[in-house]
Amino acid sequence: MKIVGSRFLDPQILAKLPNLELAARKLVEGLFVGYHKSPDFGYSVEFVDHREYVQGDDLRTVDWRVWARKNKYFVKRFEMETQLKGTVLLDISRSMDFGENRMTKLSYGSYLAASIAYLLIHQNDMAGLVTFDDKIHDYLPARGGRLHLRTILHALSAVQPGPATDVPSICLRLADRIKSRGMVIVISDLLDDPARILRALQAFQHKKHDVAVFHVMDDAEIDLPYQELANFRDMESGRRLAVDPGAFRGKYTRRVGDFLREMREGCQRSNVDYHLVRTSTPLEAAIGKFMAFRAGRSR
Amino acid sequence: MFLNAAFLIGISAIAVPIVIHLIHRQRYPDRAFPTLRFFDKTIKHNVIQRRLIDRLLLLLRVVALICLALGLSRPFWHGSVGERRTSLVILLDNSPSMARRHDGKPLLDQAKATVAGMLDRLGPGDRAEILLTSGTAPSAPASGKRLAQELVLRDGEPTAMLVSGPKGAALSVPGMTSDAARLQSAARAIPDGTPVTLASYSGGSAAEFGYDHGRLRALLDSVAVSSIPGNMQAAVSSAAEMLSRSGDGDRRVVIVSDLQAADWRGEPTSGLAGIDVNVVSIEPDPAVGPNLAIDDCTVSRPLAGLGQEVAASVTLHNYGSQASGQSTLRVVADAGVPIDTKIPAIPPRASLLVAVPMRASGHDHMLCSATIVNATDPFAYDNTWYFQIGVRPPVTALCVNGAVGATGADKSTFFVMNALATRGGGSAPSADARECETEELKNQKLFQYGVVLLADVTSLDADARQKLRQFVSDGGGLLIFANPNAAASEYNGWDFLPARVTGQKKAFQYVRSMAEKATAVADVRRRAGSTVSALTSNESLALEPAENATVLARFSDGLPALVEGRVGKGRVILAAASCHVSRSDWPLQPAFVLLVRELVQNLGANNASAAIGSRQIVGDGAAMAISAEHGGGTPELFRVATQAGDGSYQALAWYRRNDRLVMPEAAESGQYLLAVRPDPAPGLLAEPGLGADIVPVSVNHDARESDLTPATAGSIEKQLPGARVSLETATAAGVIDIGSGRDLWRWLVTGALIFLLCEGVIAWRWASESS
Repeated sequence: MKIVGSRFLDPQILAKLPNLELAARKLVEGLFVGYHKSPDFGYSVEFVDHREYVQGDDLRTVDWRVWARKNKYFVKRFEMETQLKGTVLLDISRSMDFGENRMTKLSYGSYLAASIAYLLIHQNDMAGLVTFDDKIHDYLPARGGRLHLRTILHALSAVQPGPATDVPSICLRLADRIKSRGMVIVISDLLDDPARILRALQAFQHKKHDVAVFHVMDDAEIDLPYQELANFRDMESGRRLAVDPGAFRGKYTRRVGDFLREMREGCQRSNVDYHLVRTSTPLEAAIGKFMAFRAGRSR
Repeated sequence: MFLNAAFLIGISAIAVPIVIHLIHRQRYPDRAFPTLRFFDKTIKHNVIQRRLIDRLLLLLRVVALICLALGLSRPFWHGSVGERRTSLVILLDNSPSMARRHDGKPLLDQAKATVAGMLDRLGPGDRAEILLTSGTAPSAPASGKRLAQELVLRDGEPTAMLVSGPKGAALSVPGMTSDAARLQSAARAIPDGTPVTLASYSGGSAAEFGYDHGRLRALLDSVAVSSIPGNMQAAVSSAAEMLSRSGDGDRRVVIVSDLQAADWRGEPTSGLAGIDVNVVSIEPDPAVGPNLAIDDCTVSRPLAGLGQEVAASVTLHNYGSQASGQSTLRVVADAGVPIDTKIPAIPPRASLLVAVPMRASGHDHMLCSATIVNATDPFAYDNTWYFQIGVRPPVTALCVNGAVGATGADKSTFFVMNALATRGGGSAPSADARECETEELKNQKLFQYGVVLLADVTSLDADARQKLRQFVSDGGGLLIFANPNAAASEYNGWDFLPARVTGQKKAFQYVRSMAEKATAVADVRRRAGSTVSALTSNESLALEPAENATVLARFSDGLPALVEGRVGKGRVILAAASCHVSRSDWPLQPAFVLLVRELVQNLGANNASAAIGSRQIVGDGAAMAISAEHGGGTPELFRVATQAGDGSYQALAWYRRNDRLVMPEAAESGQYLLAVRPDPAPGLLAEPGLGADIVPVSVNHDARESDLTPATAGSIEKQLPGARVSLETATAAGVIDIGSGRDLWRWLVTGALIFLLCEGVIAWRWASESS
């Protein structure tokens, strides 16, 4: 049976992925035992420390040896492995519908989101999806299981470009809405005020989320390769401006470079994983690089 | 003012860059882009700058194109008072000899190139005119029914409208038509698809100096070799007259010609005092090889009986400087089987007379041509000669025997019947002769005969006399051999005789002379020569010619022997002697046979209205008189036709001069038929064919054009007294100081071309970089 939205799970792409586990940089909370360390203490083999007994504690956790030496009741605490909750935030604004190559930024981001969700669920973690422009369209909380993966892929296949984007507002709202700590992956072209975006991403940091940003850009956006004079039309606002690209390519690329550098450095200061991805970059290479980066940081 | 005003149309080319600019501006691509935040006002300002540059470039392109058009149209302004300007008359020789080829090209092309070079060197303030030494066709044909209708309906022009029908052609003459409504109706009635050609002979304005050098170039392009011999003297006179009206400081005549010696003979041209004359010789090529030409062609008899033998004597001349090779002379009569005659080599400057035997055939006339078939000379203009032979159809004659009761050789008709019978050698009989008795005459159907011959008839009753008179009045011929024994009163009672009988003569007499100008006996006189004096007799009648009669022959005593008179449409010839040996020795003489046959033929021939000579030279223009009967009323139709190779006739343009129908002077050499007949309606002739009165005309080249001997400097200077003459070759003609022009136009054109070239290079490089 063909799964709806399976076009986002290109087997060739997934086959090229490196044999790396997606590791969380921090401990995340989870309901089920998994490969990730949980900030909660539970039943496991790895001892962490003791604390004084309080009423209601399970008596099986009382360390009787300590009681024998100090005549005080202490309970043993152990590390407990939990599942990772990863939520992908996909920008579906109209500016994402731009692509001079064979793939638009929105398509590229959709493939990226699907690949990440697939990986999370296949390693018994949980994946969620949020699509947004200036408001939230789809909100699929992080869950595990193949059925949920199908739901995510179905949502991705139905994505249509929306009007203007408002990344900061959406991020602030989602920071309040996503209660349990986990991983937040933002896929967007971030065409907004960099300072506001960075403040919004810090809101996730305050909620103890692990934040990663895929900054998706088209080559034409960065290099402005056009020659002839053209009426450039803003895809979101509809505003037009006659531009001679040949005469202003240098100035344009400097401005774009400044923007990208500001985003990258801001993310680094906020301890946010920042990945600039061009739509001309092979998707598997982008994912592989991201996973390698995450693995290195977890060690 | 502009010399080549036509190039001003080129200014409209500025529409091209403007349209391209507008199209290009409209085609700025509308490009969707994620955000405009990285573009700012500086970029927008630059776009405005770019548009300003575009508009500036557009302006420069437009200015460049305007400069180019203005430059090519050669603007000029009249110089200030006293400034030296040039009035130039170029005489271009377009006579037939300019059709000679040198290095594979006609001499005229070389001459035209030389003239074109002179026109290029003319300054804007210089005036010029081109005169041709040979005329061109006066017609300005326009084809197409619609155009014909427009011209006829709008202007009543042209003066001639030629409508080609499916089998022939007819020519309508609006100028002769007083009823314009009928003419226009006829023009409308021309069937669709009918080829229509208009020819106008209203005449152009006299040649004038002009600043429009473009017109001269167009005129030069249209110049072709004429078939008319050149008239250098008339052209030089025209040039002198034009220059006499010019007040310019530099007055100049340039003659571009092959300088045939024949063009520089005759009376010197006056009015050239103080005028510069540059004579440019176009490759006279004195070492021209063999150049055969037919100079003349005569026939042994211009009017021959059907089947009669005629000899055509063709005079060939080699005008070249080398002996000709063997060639063939081909004579064709009425598109029949050609008669080829081998021609031996002819030395340079030598002539050869070739006699070609022919036999008269056809109806009324035989149109012939003699052509040198395989001549190798470079000048084919003079290799064909056209000529014609009149053909008399067999005459039906009724011979009336005046000897009552006689039989055999005693009949007075015996000797005339013998004379009219078929001669030896297989020749055709000159007449279909029958005989009857005098009393049978009133029962004969005389309209079946062309000639009635009365042999010694002495008495006729009133009915017979009335019948004979009516026969002659209707166009028949009557030949009377008088009986010298008859009483004078018997003949004097006949009211149709050309002479009155005054008595009888009983003395030996012989025919001493025949009239020189009388066509009836011209052939007898020419062929019989002195043998006519053998026509002797001891008995004859004394005749006193009537007032309008013509004495064709006289006896030795001076009295008339033959008298011709006209009665109505026919003629009567009365002989004073008998046609029987019992009363005259005439029948025993060979000249008698000749006389009887020729007189019968002449009387039986049609009374053609031919009044033109049969020898016409190209450029003379052939004409025939239009009788009052035909020319007095309007409308009328006339036709001029030329005989094509297949025997059909093609209509030609023509015009009317007073009471004469005239072919254009520019007619090519060839055979022509001039015909005239009245017709009730103008326009298309319903029944193509030739008119009632037909005059054949043979038009031949002028032998002067064949002589390619170059003129000497002395003969040229002698023809141009008072002028400052200088002789140039075609290659040196470029150094002739012509023109006082300014070079503003050159700067305009050069600047515009340089700008456009740079534009092209920049555009090409930009396109290369873009691709």
